[in-house]
Amino acid sequence: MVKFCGACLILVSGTSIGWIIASVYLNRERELKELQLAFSILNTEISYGKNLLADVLESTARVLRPPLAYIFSRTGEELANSREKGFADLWQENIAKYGKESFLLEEDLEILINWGRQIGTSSLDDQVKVNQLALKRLEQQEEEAREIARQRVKPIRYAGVLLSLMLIILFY
Amino acid sequence: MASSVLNYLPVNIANVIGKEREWQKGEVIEIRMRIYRPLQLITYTDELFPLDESNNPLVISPRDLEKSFMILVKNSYYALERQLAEGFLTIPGGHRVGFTGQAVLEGREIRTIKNINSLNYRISHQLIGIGEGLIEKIFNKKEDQVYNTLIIAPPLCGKTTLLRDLIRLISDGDERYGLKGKKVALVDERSEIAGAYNGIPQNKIGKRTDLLDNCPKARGMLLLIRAMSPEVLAVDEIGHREDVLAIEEVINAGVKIICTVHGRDYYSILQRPSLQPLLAGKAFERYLVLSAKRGIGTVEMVLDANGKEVL
Repeated sequence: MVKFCGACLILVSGTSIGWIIASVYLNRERELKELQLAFSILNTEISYGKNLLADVLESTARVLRPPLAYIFSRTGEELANSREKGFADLWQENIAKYGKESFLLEEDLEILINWGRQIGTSSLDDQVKVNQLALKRLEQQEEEAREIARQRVKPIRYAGVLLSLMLIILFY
Repeated sequence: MASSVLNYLPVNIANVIGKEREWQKGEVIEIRMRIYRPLQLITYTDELFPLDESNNPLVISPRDLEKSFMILVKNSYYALERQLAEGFLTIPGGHRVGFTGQAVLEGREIRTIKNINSLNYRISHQLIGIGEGLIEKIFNKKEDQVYNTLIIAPPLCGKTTLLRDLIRLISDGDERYGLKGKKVALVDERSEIAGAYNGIPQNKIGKRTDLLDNCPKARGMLLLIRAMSPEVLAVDEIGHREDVLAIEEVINAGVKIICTVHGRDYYSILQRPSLQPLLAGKAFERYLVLSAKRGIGTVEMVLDANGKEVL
């Protein structure tokens, strides 16, 4: 009975570990998708509404989940009150702070940082181009993330189940 | 009100200005920052160059200007393109910040100004009551109508301040002069009169005033006639041909107009070609000529449609 319970525990935890590891890939894909939605809202707010950047960031944050939402909302709040630091600095600081809590990779965050360096300092036409470029690059990253997830999610989940079965067989 | 200007300056500069006695007494009318040159404050009667901690005049660095400009545009250059091409921005409270640098041209038009090298913060002082003595001169009690009025003055003589107060008085009405409150529509192209922030007026412009903020004057005037059925329309700093055409439309629509124009005196206005259609047609029934001889907002004379002094 004890052995059976132990075997069940190994199976459940092994399977869960497999699912958890696999979810990292799926969550990155999800976050990249959410970021694209956020950037298209942001682009509309800038190009059509001509709203100030701090307000744009705060309204964009509403379509995101934490921790990505925090990057936008905190930068917006700080920007509205800042007299010493510009947008690029604040944006970079918040990416460094909250980006590591997300499932995004360095290369994904780099797209956000690069966008931040070009926003708020040039004409409307330029801003729209910069936003569209960021959107395009996020889309490419999402495609790549989806492909990686397609290749790895199932094997990892299976590996979780199979490895736990192997352990059960070994110790049973 | 003026203290809000300090929020639009880098902390080191705001601290230095905040300590000046003239600033605390509300006498400063301009803050001027020029690259590699000392910070200058201009008061109603004098000027001063504030000192830094080591008792030397505070010299403006490129970083100071860069920071100030970024605070002004709120990191949202794209949202303020039109104003930037004009060479100045308005901050909450109706304070105007002018700037110079290198003009970027597109065809013959200035597209924007880059490499900012000078900033001039013009502090707007809301002087409530400044227009009271003049209401009788621009109000026809018999017909219960405000005269079409042009306020003429050189810069820094209180044109906008007077216009703002007249709008307030006409809008609220004043029993002492038999003036019933009128529906006033205001086109505030640079948010200087109402000092609106996010469209909400920060200055007193009267309870019957409808504000169209941040809108080109000529288009705004026509829109307001159609949309808000005003009895009186107010605009600041007319001068372009399209403004003149719009004012003709306003007058023909039976709406009274109060506006301002840059000029030394009545005769200098007569020389302005763009204003000829209005002057020749005797569109204005009153001219208020201002100067700063006895302080800002000194009324030099009040003239009628024929240029004769109104007593």
